This record gives sequence, C-alpha cells and structure tokens, in this order.
Amino acid sequence: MDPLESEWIIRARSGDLPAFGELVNRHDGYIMRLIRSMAPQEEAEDLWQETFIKAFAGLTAFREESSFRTWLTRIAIRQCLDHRRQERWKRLVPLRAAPSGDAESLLELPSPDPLPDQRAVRQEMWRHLQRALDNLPGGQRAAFVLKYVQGCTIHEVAEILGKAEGTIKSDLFRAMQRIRAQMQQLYAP
Amino acid sequence: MKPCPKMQLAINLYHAGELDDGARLEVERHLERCPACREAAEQIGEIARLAAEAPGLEDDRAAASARRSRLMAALTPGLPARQTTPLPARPMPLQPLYAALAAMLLVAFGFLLGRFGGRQPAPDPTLQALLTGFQPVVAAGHTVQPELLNVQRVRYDPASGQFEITYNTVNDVRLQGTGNQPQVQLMLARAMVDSDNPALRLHAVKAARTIAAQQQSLDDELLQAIDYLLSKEQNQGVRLMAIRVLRALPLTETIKRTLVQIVLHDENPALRMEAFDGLAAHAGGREIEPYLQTIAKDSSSSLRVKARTLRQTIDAGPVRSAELSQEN
Repeated sequence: MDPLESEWIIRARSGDLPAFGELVNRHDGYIMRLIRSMAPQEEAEDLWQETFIKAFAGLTAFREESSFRTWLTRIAIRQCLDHRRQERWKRLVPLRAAPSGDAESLLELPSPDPLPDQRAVRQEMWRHLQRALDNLPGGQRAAFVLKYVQGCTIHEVAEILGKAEGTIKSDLFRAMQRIRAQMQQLYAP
Repeated sequence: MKPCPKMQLAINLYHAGELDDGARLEVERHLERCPACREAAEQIGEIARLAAEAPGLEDDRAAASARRSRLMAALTPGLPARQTTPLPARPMPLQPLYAALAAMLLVAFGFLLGRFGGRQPAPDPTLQALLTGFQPVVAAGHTVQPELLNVQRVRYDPASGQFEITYNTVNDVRLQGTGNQPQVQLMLARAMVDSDNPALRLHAVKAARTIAAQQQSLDDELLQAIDYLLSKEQNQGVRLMAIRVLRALPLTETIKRTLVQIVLHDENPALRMEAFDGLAAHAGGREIEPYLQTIAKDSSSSLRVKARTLRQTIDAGPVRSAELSQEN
C-alpha cells in the first residue's frame, strides 16, 4: 500500500478529519462512478456520502488485508446492493397491489432526438445500458460494473465481492448475455 | 445463424482481457471464420466499450468539490448531524469517535459471543441489540443505521431450538434466537425476499416452516415474504417449501384462498399437488370439494387420480355427504 495512504489511514483512525479528507479526495471519483453505475442517479450522492461515513466509522475494523480502495469499494457495493434490496423490500406490498405501474414505467423510453450527434447517441445508449443493468441480479450487476465500468481485473472483482474467480466469470458471462438480449430488443430493426 | 455455444464464454473473456496469448489467438482465428460468433463478439465489444466510456458518468469538478465539502462538514463534530435514515437518533453517552470504536469492538465481541454462545452468560438486552446491529451507531456526530440486510446463512439447531442467522452490517453479525423472536422472523423474511442465493432462500423458508409448525402462527412480515415467494420466486423448490409453510399453519380463509389459487392456476403440477394435499388434509376434503370437478380435468394424471379418489371418499362417507348436502 502507498505509504502516504497508510499514514492517512492511521491518522484518520484516530479521528484526524483532514487525513480522512485526503483519502476522500483520492478515491472520490472512483467511488462516485461506481455508485452512479450501480444505483439511481438521484440516490448517488446520498449513497456516496453514506459510504464514506461508514468507512470513517469503520476504519478501526479495516485490517489492511486488502487495499483501502478494495475495502472502500466493498462498502460502496454493499451500500448499493442494500439500497436496492431495501427498495425491493419497500415495494413488496405495493407490488402485489398494483404490479402494472412499475412495468409500464420500465417500458417507458426517452423520446428520441431527431438529429442526435455522436455524443448524444452514446449517452442514449448508456442510458439503455443502465436500464439493462437495473434488471440484472445484484451480484451480476456488481461484477459487471466492477469489471467493465471500473476496469478491475477478474481477480480484483473476486476479491472485492468475496467470490471465487470462476463464479465471477460465470456472473459476467450471464450478465453480458442478458444485457445483449435487452440491447438487441431495443436496437432490433 | 446462432453463435457457437462452446465459444461464448471464451469470447466474453476475450473482451474482458482475461485470456492468455494462446487462447486469444484461438478466439481470433475462430472469429475470422465464424460470422455468427463475430457478430456476437462485436456486440459484446460494443457493450464493453460503452461501459468503459460510461458517458453518463462524467463528474463535474465543482460538484465533486461541493460534495466533498458537504461530507467533511457532516463529519465535523459540533455541526448539525445529518441522519442517514429516517429513524430518530438515540442519544449515546460516549463521545462520537469513541462510540464508533466501542461499537466496532462490541460487534466483534458479539461475533465471538455467537460463536461460543453456549458457554457465555446471556448479555444485557440493550447490549445484545447493539451487538446484533439493530441499533444505530453514532460516529462523529452521525447516526449510522446498521443495515439489517444481506443475509448470508440460516441455520436451525433442533436440539437447542435456536435459529442462527448470519448477516452483514459493516461487519459480519450473527444473530441467535428462538423462532418466537420478532428479529429472527424479520431477518428470515428479508433473507427470502432479498437474497440472490436460492439455497439461502430455501433455508430461510425451511426455518419459517419450523416456526410455523412450532407456533402455529407467523409475523406479518414473514407471511408477506411467503406470499411474495409464491408469486415471484423462480426456484420451484423454494416455492414448494413456501406452500409447506402454509400447510403447517391453521387453515385461515386467506391461506385457503392462496392454496386454491395454486391448485387451480399454478403451472407446476408438483406445486398444484402440494396445495391440493394441503386443502384435502382439512375437514375430510371439504375445503377442496367445490373445485373437484375442475381438478378432475387437470393436465396432471396424478392430480386427476387424487381428485377422483377424494370424490369417491366424500361420496362414500354418509356423514360427510350429509353435512355437505346440508350446507349446499
């Protein structure tokens, strides 16, 4: 581990906020990008903040068996998956009462721009990809985001998610199959 | 034309950059001569590039700076605390950072207590609640609500009558208790609804069946979770076990309605059979009697035979027949 980062961790453990601030500065963008691909945009900042608050509160439990970024990523992933589960839990009764509402909103697509430039097209495709990600099981989504959005290796993804590398390969394969199927439906002539 | 099934995993790993040189060359050679796999590979590559670019995730520098400032302000003791959940904060006598440290130690202690629970004296109930992650932790002026989710394992020890549920807060927590404890039932319900692991969901439903058989009742959350499984669960083994939970309970009108719906409309014959048996076991089959004519036309021959046998039993029993005709 980077000696400077180790120093910040030691100081942050004893309550040194500026040292924790350095850790936040270093990993802020990475964690925000991860959360934005794992959770609804409107929830991203809250989840980002809760991730760092939990990290600050839990620094004493960080045993440096993995890198700080891996540990932080694990907290962020857990935050996102828990948020998703809580949302599912909250929707449990309404889902049974009015299942059609959710289904309709899922099918609702943004209005197409008649003369989109390349960037707008990519952003539109990204939105479709995010919608496909929303429909993946939590574990597959986490594996996909870590691998393809965050650029982790399969070994790193396995370490972060606490699974075997073979399981991650299989999760990634299934995730890609599902995403392809959904994207094909959208772009089929 | 469909892509070659045997090559699909390799093509995915190829785009993930996880193949050695030999395997990569092999995939490239295959792609040169197989148009279907080439098309699939192009799609996978496009999705991988799109994810790597993530054009919707660009971070605005000013926004990033502002959120870091908000975080630091929120972590600074003395400033108004931002609560992370709508639950009210509990006043804690310790200073925030010491409280956070104490909470972590207590959670670790709780883990040990769980592991060696049989040899340890029962902890104070308030302490137990904190150990099991049911109370918020106050750190640096913040109330962090522990997550009661992400259940990893459910076990039942028939000898002691204790359930053991392992789940996460920031750290792993192990909750032990009997089936009549609301926290145990709540965590079982969450395991059924939240977990992506079908084996874990099955263990949770089995535990619920044990509680149902012991207590002849379940908390509302657990019943809702059973109902959720019956309507949404993909794994048929889990659904079958959910019906067995209902069978272990007294036959209320709601349970009867649910079982009848399964008998008449479920696609899985094993599940229809289980629900049929559940109804037929009560009051000599009277519960299912109005539907026997429909069930006698079921696509499952076993169910048709069961329906005919039950019909004969009912018709042969003079007392039951008399009762039924009086009701009609």
